Amino acid sequence: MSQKAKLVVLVLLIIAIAAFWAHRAKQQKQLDEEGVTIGGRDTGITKTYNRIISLAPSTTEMLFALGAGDKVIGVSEFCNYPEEAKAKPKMGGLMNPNYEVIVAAKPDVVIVFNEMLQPTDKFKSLNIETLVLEHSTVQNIFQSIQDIGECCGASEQAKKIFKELTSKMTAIQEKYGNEPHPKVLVIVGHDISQDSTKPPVNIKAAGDEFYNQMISYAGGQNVYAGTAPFPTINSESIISMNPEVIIDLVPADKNPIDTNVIIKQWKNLSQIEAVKKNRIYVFTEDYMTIPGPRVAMALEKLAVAIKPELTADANERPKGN
Amino acid sequence: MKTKVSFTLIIIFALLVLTAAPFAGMIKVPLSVLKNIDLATTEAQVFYQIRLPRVFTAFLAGAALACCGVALQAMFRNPLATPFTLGISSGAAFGAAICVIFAAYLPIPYGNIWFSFAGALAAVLLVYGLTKIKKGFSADTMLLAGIAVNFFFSSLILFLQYISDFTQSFRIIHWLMGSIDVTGYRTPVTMLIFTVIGIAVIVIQRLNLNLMSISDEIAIARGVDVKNARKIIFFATSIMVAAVVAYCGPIGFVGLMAPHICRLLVGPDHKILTPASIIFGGAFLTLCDTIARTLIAPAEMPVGVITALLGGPFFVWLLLKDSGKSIP
Amino acid sequence: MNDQKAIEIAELSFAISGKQILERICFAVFAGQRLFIVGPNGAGKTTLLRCVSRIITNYQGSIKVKDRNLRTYSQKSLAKILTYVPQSLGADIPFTVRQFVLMSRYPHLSPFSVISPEDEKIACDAMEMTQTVCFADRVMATLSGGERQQVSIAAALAQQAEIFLLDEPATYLDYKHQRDIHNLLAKINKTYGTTIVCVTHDLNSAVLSAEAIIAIKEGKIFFEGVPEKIMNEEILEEIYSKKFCFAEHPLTGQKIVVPDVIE
Repeated sequence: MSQKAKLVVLVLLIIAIAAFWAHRAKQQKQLDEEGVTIGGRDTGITKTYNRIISLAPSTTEMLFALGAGDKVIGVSEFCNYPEEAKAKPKMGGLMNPNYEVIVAAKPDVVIVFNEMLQPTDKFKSLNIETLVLEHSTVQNIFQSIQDIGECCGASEQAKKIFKELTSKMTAIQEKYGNEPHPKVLVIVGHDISQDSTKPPVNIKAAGDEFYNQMISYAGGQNVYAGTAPFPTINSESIISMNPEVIIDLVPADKNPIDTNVIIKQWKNLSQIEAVKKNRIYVFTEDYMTIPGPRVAMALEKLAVAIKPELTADANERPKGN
Repeated sequence: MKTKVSFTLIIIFALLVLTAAPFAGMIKVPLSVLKNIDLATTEAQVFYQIRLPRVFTAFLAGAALACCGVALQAMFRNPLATPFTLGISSGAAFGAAICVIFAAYLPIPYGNIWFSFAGALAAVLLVYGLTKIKKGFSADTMLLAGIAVNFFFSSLILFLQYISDFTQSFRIIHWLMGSIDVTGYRTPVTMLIFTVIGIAVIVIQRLNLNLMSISDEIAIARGVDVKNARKIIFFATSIMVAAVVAYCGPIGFVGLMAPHICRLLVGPDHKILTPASIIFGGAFLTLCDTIARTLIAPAEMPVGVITALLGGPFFVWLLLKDSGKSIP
Repeated sequence: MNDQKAIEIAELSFAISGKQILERICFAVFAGQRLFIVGPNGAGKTTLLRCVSRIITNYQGSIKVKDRNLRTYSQKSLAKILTYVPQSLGADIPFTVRQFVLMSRYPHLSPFSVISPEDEKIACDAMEMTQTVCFADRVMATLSGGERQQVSIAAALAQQAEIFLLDEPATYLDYKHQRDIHNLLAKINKTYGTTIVCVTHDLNSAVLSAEAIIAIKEGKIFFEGVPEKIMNEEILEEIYSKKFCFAEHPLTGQKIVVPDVIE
């Protein structure tokens, strides 16, 4: 390698590292309607589609919620809600769709997300129209419902759902979103098959914008303040961050999940506030991790867990462990 | 003389790393934890239950991997021979991944290690068998076979990940990435037993390694039962790699780099090179792991990223520095 | 020279992928004897040495070393009796001469013992005798071919084996080094009574230093006897499929072959 080439590599390396460290500006955590354009956003939608393929659980849910379930001709392997979605033909995974099956199904449009660059390009080259959506913030979810509504000719229904969702979520935010803001740690994955005598290992915390917003609306503050969307954290960092509430999201899978084992694992970290005050919540509901139309339910579940004292009905308070 | 100085420097480096590492981290631990071991305090608990086990585990894993690297490089007379390139790591990782899926049905103590060991041995036997088909023992054929076996097992792991459910899949990723997240002393003690066995076997073989690193003919002429020595080294490396992979996943680069750096520092004699690599490998991985868990704390990075980022340039520097004067 | 047999080979055959390399070889080497093995390229000379030094093990027939079947020796106990000097050591050995010669003491060490001062002395004596002390601390990779060959013999000497098997020890060397190596082998033979079995292409040095010569052609023994007998027009023509010219050595009167005139 020549001297010049070495230098170029070095500079590129430095730029890459700098980019990595560059502080990602936190977006305003205020739930408002301004960020969402109701109709008229330039999505490239020009007509009503009747043969739609949805490649994510969230968009499939939206389609069914909009009453357009009969227009859905294919879903991803992971789309299990609502019940009718399970019967739809499977078109592969989110990041690795089965192009042959999709082409054979002759869709009008395939709904994808903006981070799926490769599939989007491939669909373009296959002359299949795509509706590209974002889902990294709560506002993105609202926008997606609008866009899908336009796409399947259900704009009115979309507006209705949007109004419902925002009013529900605003109500939750007004009730729970005020001071104090307890420190909350949301876990989106860990090695739950370890024995119960050790703290959980191989943990991924939620640090992305969507969960930051959700925690904030629910009245808490994300104890992980870094910039990584789903950072791997260890026992020591949990002790040092000292969360007051831990919400462990373990979507139920084929195999039943023994939440007691997971709780016992957490109990090994006896010095953190959340353990001392029995504020460990393990949620196995699938909607907790799906940014779809059930996001209000997810928010309520979070809010009630973070501030159970604000719930009037004592029976509805989740049991902390 | 230079050898002795370098060896002493390696030991000093290791001692420095081992004393500093348990004190590095988000929670400030005062020196007084060493005097009053009161596990009721958060500091003492973090120090004794989280950091020390992790430092021990990292040191053992690094030492074992470096030891494997030394033995394999000498035996194959090939600077690229490591548990990785010969497919032993991915064999062990596959065994561990299988164990995840069938763990519920197989309540064996240390099941993950035995599965890893079986995987590692399977990989070694495959590589050895493939080489034997091509009459005679050629180091090049063996490396090629190793690379093929490596890809084979890596794809099997990916396949397992594909067919397993979400939670299992999450755990299997662990065997593709590698990390040293342990608490308590069960893991380091188990690893210690397996690592000590492996290291002892290799250290006993140190004279044979010297001769085998020259040529098989010379080794035989000097009374080395080469076929037997190969089997012993395969066994020892398999058991060490199995222990490391079962608990930490496949950690790359240490097994390749530690022996090379030590060879440049203390010379080629395995009587010194073997212990030097073991100590350096352990200290190096401990250092990398400390950086991995502190650099972007509270989040941590995969330790493999640090081993490559830190070790690579140092390795290149040593190579360039040395090529300037020797070899006329 | 006594009558004790250092090596006794009976009905030795070896084939690789269907090709017969050695066919029913029988001969004996007496203790303290200097035996040279000659023959054309591909005759199986090297293979023969490799069988006796146990680099090749899947041969047929029997090889006895000091009246004991070769297969019953452990590799280590064999190394105390017999050593093999390959045609050339690799050019990239990273060890110093001293380290390399000391490695010859390994068959005398247990896995837990360390090199003793006595081992150091034996290695030093070996280097002394082979005149390699002057570059004892140089790295092997920096030596010339001739120097490396001297070190190779020094190492064999430090091993204190009674039998040396040498594969063309002087082939690639210049005149001075050729002479040095052959003188050295003769000296070792005389000083320690070491049995020397040496494969060579050089008929002249063979007849000048051997006590007995064996000629191998196509895997079979073609000639066995004293050096004077092989310097025979018909025999050599049979072995090498070419005519030879002879001359008398001006100092000893020994019949030797002279190089061909280039047309």
